[in-house]
Amino acid sequence: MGGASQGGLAQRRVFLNVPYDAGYEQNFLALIAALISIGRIPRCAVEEPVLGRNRMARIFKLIRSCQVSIHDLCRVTLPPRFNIPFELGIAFTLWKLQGHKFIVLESKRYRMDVNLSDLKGVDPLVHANSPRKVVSCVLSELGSTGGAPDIEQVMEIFKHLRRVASKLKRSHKGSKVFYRPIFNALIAAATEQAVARGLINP
Amino acid sequence: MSRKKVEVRTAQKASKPSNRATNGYVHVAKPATASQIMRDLGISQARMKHLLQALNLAGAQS
Repeated sequence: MGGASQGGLAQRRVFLNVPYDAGYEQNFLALIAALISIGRIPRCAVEEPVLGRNRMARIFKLIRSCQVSIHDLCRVTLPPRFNIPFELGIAFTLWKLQGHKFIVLESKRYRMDVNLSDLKGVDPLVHANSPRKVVSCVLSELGSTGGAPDIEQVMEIFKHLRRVASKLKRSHKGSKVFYRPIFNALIAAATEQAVARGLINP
Repeated sequence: MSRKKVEVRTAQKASKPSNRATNGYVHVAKPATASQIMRDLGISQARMKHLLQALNLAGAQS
């Protein structure tokens, strides 16, 4: 692949920096459905092996290869989880140095003002742990001003992914959706649905 | 002549839809195609077909 087309793809890649726990699975599926519907490419640390010395370096490379990143701070509670704010710090640095864009999500209004007061001035988008609201946030921030898909169409894809995810988890003996083979199959299913609904080209 | 050029450029700029999202951080990009999405994730067309077939067999596809 040539440099120009890689650059073009970088504009469409979105790095997902979100909690990898069972309670977040529905929101993760909503993010995939919304991003694929608008022709964005979800990328995340799930693609990287957990083991290995250079995991952080590989994640850094992945964030840098994406034009946009989404950071959900909804799990900045007890017990503290530092990965997400840490990677948000990387995105902030890339924004300062090379024009990377980042979006901050939160489940509770005003909590970020306390937990991450240094980032005052950046308004998080509040989703209240609702997949529909997550979809709405993505469409409002990344959807085209003229041709963003209807939220109901995206919710249909989300519902389809929910069915697919439960089958996949059974096939993979109870794995969470944050598992590379499941993630890839979810992307394939979402892409097929988006094409079938005329939201993206084949 | 130069003024004319400037006017034309301004008109072109004005007719372009805004690519700036509400919070001022994010630009709208041209949507990727399905094949670009899959290729970027390192999933070949054959692999995608295989994944979708497996989902069909599991009864997950509508």
